[in-house]
Amino acid sequence: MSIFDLHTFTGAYAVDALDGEEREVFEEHLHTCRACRDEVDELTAITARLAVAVSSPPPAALRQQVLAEVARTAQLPPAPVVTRLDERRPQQWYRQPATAAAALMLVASVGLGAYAFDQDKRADEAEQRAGRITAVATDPDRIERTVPVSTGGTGTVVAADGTAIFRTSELETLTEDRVYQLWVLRGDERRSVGVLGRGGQLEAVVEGLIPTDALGLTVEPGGGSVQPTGPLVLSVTPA
Amino acid sequence: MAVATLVDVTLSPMASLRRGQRFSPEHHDASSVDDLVVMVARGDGPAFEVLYDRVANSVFGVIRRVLRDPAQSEEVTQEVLVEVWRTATRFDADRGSATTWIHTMAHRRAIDRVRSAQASHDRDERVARRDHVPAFDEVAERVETRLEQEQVRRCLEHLTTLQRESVTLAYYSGYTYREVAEVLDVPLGTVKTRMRDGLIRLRDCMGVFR
Repeated sequence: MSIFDLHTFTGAYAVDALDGEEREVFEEHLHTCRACRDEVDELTAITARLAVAVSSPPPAALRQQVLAEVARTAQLPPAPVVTRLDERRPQQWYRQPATAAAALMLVASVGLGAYAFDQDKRADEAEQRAGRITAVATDPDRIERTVPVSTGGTGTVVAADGTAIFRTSELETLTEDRVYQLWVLRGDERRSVGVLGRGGQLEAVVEGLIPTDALGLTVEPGGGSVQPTGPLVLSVTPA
Repeated sequence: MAVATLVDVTLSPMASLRRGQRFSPEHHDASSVDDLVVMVARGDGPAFEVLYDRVANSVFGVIRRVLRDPAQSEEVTQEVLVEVWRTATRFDADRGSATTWIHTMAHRRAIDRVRSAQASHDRDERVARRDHVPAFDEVAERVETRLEQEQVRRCLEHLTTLQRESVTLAYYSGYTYREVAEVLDVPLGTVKTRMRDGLIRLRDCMGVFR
């Protein structure tokens, strides 16, 4: 496969027509090609319809076998749940909070506001999420830690009970083709929290953390990456 | 190379953030596949049973279409459905619907099985047979499935012959695009392109975003 026509393999990939090695090369390409990812997702949705069209009942006994197997199979722990706060929030939030936790109280209330336009079924979740942010900010056992970013500025994390609020301050402003991206580092797994922006005060809330998780910040090209391509400029490791 | 700054931060003992909400069986029955997967991710066994009833036919159907061997198909179907249970916590709704997630996994598993060494003989036979015209099951229990079959069949008819053969040989018969090119005696690049524009035409016909 030539790098020049990799993006035209979206269809072949969606119908699983690439052999093992080609599939790996293409998946590698998907990490860096957002348009390809979007197209693959779209085409894959069609192949699922092709599957439904050939439905055929399995033997009745299979149901009991599967349920029995499921009963003795542990589920993977939840992946970190990532929430990004509304970037259009008023800047006065940042005016000299007495403590990081005090600032987070504001985050919680405005975070709820940001979800006001969401559908009903999400309203409960948003409310619970805002409640958990408030709980973090008021948790007597919360951790508040500000660490330097190696390229300039600082990052503050406030964490309790599996939820972490991350905020940067005075980050070096990047050129237009670069962005700061936050990651959850869990063992060898790197899960994107999302692109935070190009500098200054950036913010994210990460839920579902386990004690061995770390948060890491990298500088990535343009729209961000699926896996980190740059070195960590900051990392916070829960004990 | 920037230096990573490592700071010890001790988090207090963590409670599960996804506290399981239980729903009544009636609630399950009315739930979408997406909702069911969310419930399953919380360890909800009854929700998994409903999910099984909702997707087992299509999962088994597509696996059997690719593998043909009934015993192997059952085995892979079981693997896939147990994997759905095990990894429901990692389902990423941003990438697509739960239905898509489940059937993509099912198809991939069937393909991996059919391409494994022990299956190579069967594959040779399949290539020789060239039975790439999808024969849809006459017995479809659910009305939705019947409607879906009719729509897919109709939309497949709207493709050019080369588009249709490229898509169905790969998806239903498990051929690689190289094998498709060989069987149809057309250049690799053409097959690759027909798979892509064939799927796009199917999308336009079926209206995936309904």
